[in-house]
Amino acid sequence: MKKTRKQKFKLKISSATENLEIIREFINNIATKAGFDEESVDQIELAVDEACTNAIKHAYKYSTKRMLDISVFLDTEKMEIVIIDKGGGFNPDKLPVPNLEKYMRAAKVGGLGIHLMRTLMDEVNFSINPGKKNQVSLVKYLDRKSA
Amino acid sequence: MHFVERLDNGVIIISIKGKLTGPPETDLLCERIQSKIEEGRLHIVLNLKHINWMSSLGVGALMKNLRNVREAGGDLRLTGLSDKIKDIFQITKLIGVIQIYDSDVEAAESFKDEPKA
Repeated sequence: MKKTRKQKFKLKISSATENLEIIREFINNIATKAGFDEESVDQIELAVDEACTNAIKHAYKYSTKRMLDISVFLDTEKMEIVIIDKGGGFNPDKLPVPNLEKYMRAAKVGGLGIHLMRTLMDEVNFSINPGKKNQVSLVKYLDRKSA
Repeated sequence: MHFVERLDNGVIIISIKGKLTGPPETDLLCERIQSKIEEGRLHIVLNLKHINWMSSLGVGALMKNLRNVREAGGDLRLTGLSDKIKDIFQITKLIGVIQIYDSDVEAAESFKDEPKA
């Protein structure tokens, strides 16, 4: 069986919302180079933006002294983005499906970002180990249309 | 983030330019809308034509503002949505709870038959 060649790209960046633009550009360049169409590139960019926003907001509570590790693995079939933080974790399975009508009546909406990630990407996997290593993996296949 | 405001028959139309991806932009938007509520301007149109990026935090900020304006007795309506932003609204189901129009004129006229805020 022929082995698929994998390329790896890495970005280590401080956990700041101002850096989201740099992260999006990093992702955009790789996704475009991989051959995704414009719509898919936008979707990947937004999903990564949401994952990093979650880490900045929830894991690191907007502390810009902490770091985000972003790795991208590219082969002929797919693009996988792995985002790692070492902050406080959460249980992604316990997040409700966001209900905006309910939000209009009462409580704060939650889980919008994760809902977006799951809709935009083909695979989303979490590995949560609070304070040690929280990891989210986002996968998009080149020959599939998701959202 | 830039705001440009104008009045059309008692309706305040606010065009915003920049990105809505979280603080400080989302806070600035909330402050701007809150000041309109305090001035008694409760018929508000937000033109998003020049918003080039929005994440779930932006959607959350729009929801918060929509709720605040409605609680004060008015409404917040949107115009100028790009396909990209429409997709985000579709996925987050914001499209079902907020009124969206093709132009500022249509959005402003939609308030015509409603009691003056």
